This record gives sequence, structure tokens and C-alpha cells, in this order.
Amino acid sequence: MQEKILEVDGLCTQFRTERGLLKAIDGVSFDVYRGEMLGIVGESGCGKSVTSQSILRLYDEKRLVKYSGEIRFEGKNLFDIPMKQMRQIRGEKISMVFQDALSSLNPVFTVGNQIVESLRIHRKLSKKEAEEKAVKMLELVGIPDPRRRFYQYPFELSGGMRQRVMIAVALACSPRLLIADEPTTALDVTIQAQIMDLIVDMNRRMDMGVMLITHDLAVVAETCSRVIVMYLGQIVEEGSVDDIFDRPAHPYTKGLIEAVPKMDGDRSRRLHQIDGTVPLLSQIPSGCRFAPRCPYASERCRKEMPELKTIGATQKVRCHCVTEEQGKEA
Amino acid sequence: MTAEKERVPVLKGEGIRKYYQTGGSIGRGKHFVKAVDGVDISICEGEIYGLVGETGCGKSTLGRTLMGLTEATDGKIRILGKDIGGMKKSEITGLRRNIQMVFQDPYTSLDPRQKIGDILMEALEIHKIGTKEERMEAALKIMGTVGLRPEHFYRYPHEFSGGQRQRIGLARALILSPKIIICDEPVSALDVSIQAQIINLLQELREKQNISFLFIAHDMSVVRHISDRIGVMYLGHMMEEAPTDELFARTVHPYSKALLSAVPNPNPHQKKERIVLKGDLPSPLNPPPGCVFHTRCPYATEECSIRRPDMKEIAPGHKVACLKV
Repeated sequence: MQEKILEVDGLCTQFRTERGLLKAIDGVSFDVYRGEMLGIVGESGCGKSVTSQSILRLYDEKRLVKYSGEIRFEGKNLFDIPMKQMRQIRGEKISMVFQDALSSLNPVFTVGNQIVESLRIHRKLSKKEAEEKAVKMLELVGIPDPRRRFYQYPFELSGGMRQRVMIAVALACSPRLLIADEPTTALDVTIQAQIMDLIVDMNRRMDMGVMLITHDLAVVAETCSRVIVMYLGQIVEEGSVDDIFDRPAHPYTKGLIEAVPKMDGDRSRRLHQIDGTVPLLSQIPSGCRFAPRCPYASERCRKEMPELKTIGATQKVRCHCVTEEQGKEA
Repeated sequence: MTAEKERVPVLKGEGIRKYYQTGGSIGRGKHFVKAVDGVDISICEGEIYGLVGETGCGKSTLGRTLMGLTEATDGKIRILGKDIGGMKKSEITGLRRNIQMVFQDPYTSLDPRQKIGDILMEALEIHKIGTKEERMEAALKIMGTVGLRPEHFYRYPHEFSGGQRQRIGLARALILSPKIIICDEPVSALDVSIQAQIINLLQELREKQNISFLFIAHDMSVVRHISDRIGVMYLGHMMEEAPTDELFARTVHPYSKALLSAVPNPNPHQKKERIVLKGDLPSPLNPPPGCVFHTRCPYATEECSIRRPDMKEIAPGHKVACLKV
């Protein structure tokens, strides 16, 4: 197995609200390996974005949030180090690409400047060196005429170009881990295809781990090697792409895959639907969190929370109905 | 299903153009954004017509123009066979009952200060239908149709989830028993599991009540699943139009091909050839001459930059606007 670059162990993220603490993430553990593309999927409110932002400690810890668990990166627990050290890791060792490039880039600086900033802070390059490198980065992410684009502002670029700039900013210091949070959700399919190709290409060339956070299963199927499925702040299933798409074990994973219309699917058939909606965090059901929407739920599911158990070489699932033998058969 | 659908079009647009003026201040000339530039479209009874294209291609503007939310710069709109040009306002309002719309964002398209019951009954009040009791009865009935419970009648929109709000939007459209509903990206703000619920509901409505839909969306797999016929738009022009199975079996226009090839496939074992288009969508302020797609088309020749292609019928119901066909 490849070298682990990030270990998330028992992560809990709780938000302080007027009505007390809300557990948005409840005991999430996973590893990210060097050079891999890991997909984290789930619907809105499942905690996939909160997980990624917790890794970088982006929430206001004084007022908003309470973390527990450990996030180990390069031998250190990220929750133990001072904020100053955390800021050195952000952008240099772990970078992030957000969904909305227009609001994530600074509107009053040229795009070139924003890459230069990162290089000057983390790599201590001279202005001239940093500018040279920034132009190279723009070229690397496939922006035509990079010298001219260097002096343009974010609003002058199209959505796809802006996302490329964000990727250039994120990759400028050759991070070990890139977290891409819904990087193509706001883009059209043709542009989405270009951006995903770029991310896959960068992943191979720079040998960095990529955590792709998305609600789009098809994007994950096309690009990732490993997949984590989340529901209501917990991991419900984890496995290789083949595990998840060929033999999904959790009823929620199965439901999600079947709910997406296929390009070669039978059009006369009704789409599979998961009834009900994702409950609010303040109304988390006891027992298995998916039980109220699960067609196979039994009395036990409603009372007892299932553990995440290993059912194959690479597959883990959190469901009472799946035994180890079943996992092997399926 | 397509052969028997050779029926009266419930909604027809001929040569629809919608230009928006920009600039025009001192020292500057007037410019026009040609959002929709000469599109023919017709939707038959009980048909689901899918309209696809990328951001800025004019699909939403076309929908809004057909709905009458903005006035067309040029072109004819026929509702149930009647040309609404030159009609009196009151006549148009009467006819408009037959077209309703469902919007993309279920959070901003419902009045936050009105209860669900009032939102639904308002449409009936405007068209002066029934007594108060009858309106209430109709509202409750329609809520049942879209899967809302009677106790939701006195609740406010903020008390509902995205999927439920989209059901309210649909109920509001249905209460006037329209012949056609224009859905502008009705599921793109929803999660996949909820999206499937709404899509199944739309199909059920079509089967039970024979309502036609103009289904505007950018998600090809959803459009393929639900539509009988599909139109592909690019930069204000219709590029290709065909019955769904025909379009997917025999994609002709280079733009449609590129668009379809870019759709990600939820099967990790099928890797397919992807046609990557060069560059970005040109500005509709200054669309390219000739075929609007020639700047990004891999097969473009000099002729394409001079002559604008017309829609040609190459098979029954399959029309393409390309000089190379």
C-alpha cells in the first residue's frame, strides 16, 4: 500500500448554536494515501464539506466550533499545533479548491498576484522569481496567453478559467494534499470535463493526494480510485470504486447509484427514489441514521447504531443487514 | 410514442427572437445581446420536450419568452393554436391560464410571507375561479396530487425542505389545470435522491393528466430520461432537434456530440472518447458570423464562418443546423 499522507481518526465537529452543540461530524475516520484520488460523496448536509474544512481548521474555534478526534499529517496532530503553524500548512502542504471561484478569489487583485502571494509567503521567492513561476503555473493549468492573463482580474475571466486560476493558486507550492470541494458543480458539463481532466492530470504529475468532495457520483466513477459515502455526519460505506459501483453494500449507496439516470439506462422505467428527506442535525434518529428512509430497516436498526465493519479487502460498511459473508457474495 | 404524437401543438414559437439592449449611453453605440436569435419550437399535447444547452445559450430566455414573462423582440407565439400577437391583454390572460411555470430555485420563487394554502389559492383568485370554499378544496386536492399533506396548508415556505418546496411550486402551477408547464431547471437545485422523486412525479402527471412539459435543464442524463423530444441550443440558436432515442443513437451536430461526450458516466468500467471543445462560449454581445459554433467546431471550414446554416430535416423529426450535413 502507498504511504499515508493524512490520517483522520475519530473526527467530531460540533457547532455551537443557541440550542446547544450540534454534531455535524460524528466519528469520521479515514486515510488519504499519496498520489491517490479519494472521492467523498453524499447529499447536502451529510458533512462532506465540514470534514474538509475541519481538516484545515477553517472554522472559528473561539466561538463557532468544537473539534475532537485527531487529524495526523506529517507526524503531527493538526488540532495540537498553534494557528500560526496551521497557516503555514494551509496553501503550502494542504491546499483547497472551492466551488465558487468568483467569491473565493480576491476581486481587487490580479490573478497573477494571487499566485505570487502564495509563493512569496510560503516559498520566500523574490518578486521576479515568483512572477516567473506564476506565469508557468497559469500555463500549466491550461490558460492560453498566460502573460496577458497574469494582469487580469477574476471578473474578466470565464467560470472555467477562474476555476483554473484557483487550481493554479492551490498548486503553486506543490502541496502534498489537494482538497477539491465541489470544484465543478457550478460549471457546465463541457467545462466540467476540462477541469476534471486537469485535476486528474495534476494528481498524476505532482504525485499528490486529492480529496474530491462532490455530490456527483458520475464524476467520482470517472476519476477516483477510492470512495467514501457519507450520510448525516457519518461514513456509511467506504471502498474502491469497483466495490462501490459494482457491489454497493449499504442501502443508501445503492439508492444513490440507482437514483441517477444513466445515459444508457432504460427510459421506460421509473427512477429509483429514496423516500423522505435528510433529517435535520437536531433531529438525528436513534439507531441507524438511515433507518427512517431505509426499505430494509428492522427493529434492531431503529434501536442500535451499526458499526462501520470490514466486509472485503477494501470495503467497509455501516449496516446491520450486511454480514461479512454477504459482502463477499455480493 | 413519437408517431402518435403528431397532434396539435399546444405551444408553438416561430422565429422567436429576444434581444436585450445594453449600453446606449452618451458616446457609446447601442449594443444588443442576442439571447435568443430566431428559434422555432413546438410542443405537442402530452409531450415532454427537453431543452438543453450550456449556461448562456438562451434556453431559459426562450422559456421565459414563451411564458410571456418577457416580451419577444420578434416572432410568433401560438397557444393552443391561437396567435397571441395582436390579442387584447384580457384575452391573453385568459389563454395564459394554460401555461404555467416552475422555477429552478425553490427558495426564492415562493413568497416567504404567504402560507402554502394562500400561495395556491391566489392563482385561482386572479382568474376568478370558484368560491372561497371551492378554492380551498381545490388547493387541498392539488396538494395531495403532488404528495403534500393537508396539514401543510397553513405552513410557510421556510418550514419546508428543497424537495417539498419544489412540490409546492408544482402544485401552484397545476392548480389552474394548465395544458403545458414550463419547468426551468426544476431539479438542478435538489439532491439526487430528491431529484428522482420530482422526476417521477412529473412523469406521473404527464401520464395521468396528459400535461405537456417544456423541460429546460443542463443535465443530459436527466433530460434523456424524461423527454420525448430534445432540442439542443447554443448561443441563442437551435442546433439540433430530434426524438430522444434518435438523438442519442444518431447524434449529428458537432456541438451535440461534444456536449454528450462531456457527460460523466456513473459506470467506472466504461471509459469513452471525450470531445473537448476549444475555448469558451463566445459573448452573445458579439456572436460569430455564419454558424455561431464555427469558432469552436473541429470540422469548421471557411464557408461556416460566412453562411448561417438553416435547420434541415435529415430524418423524420430530426433537424440539424449544420452546413456539413
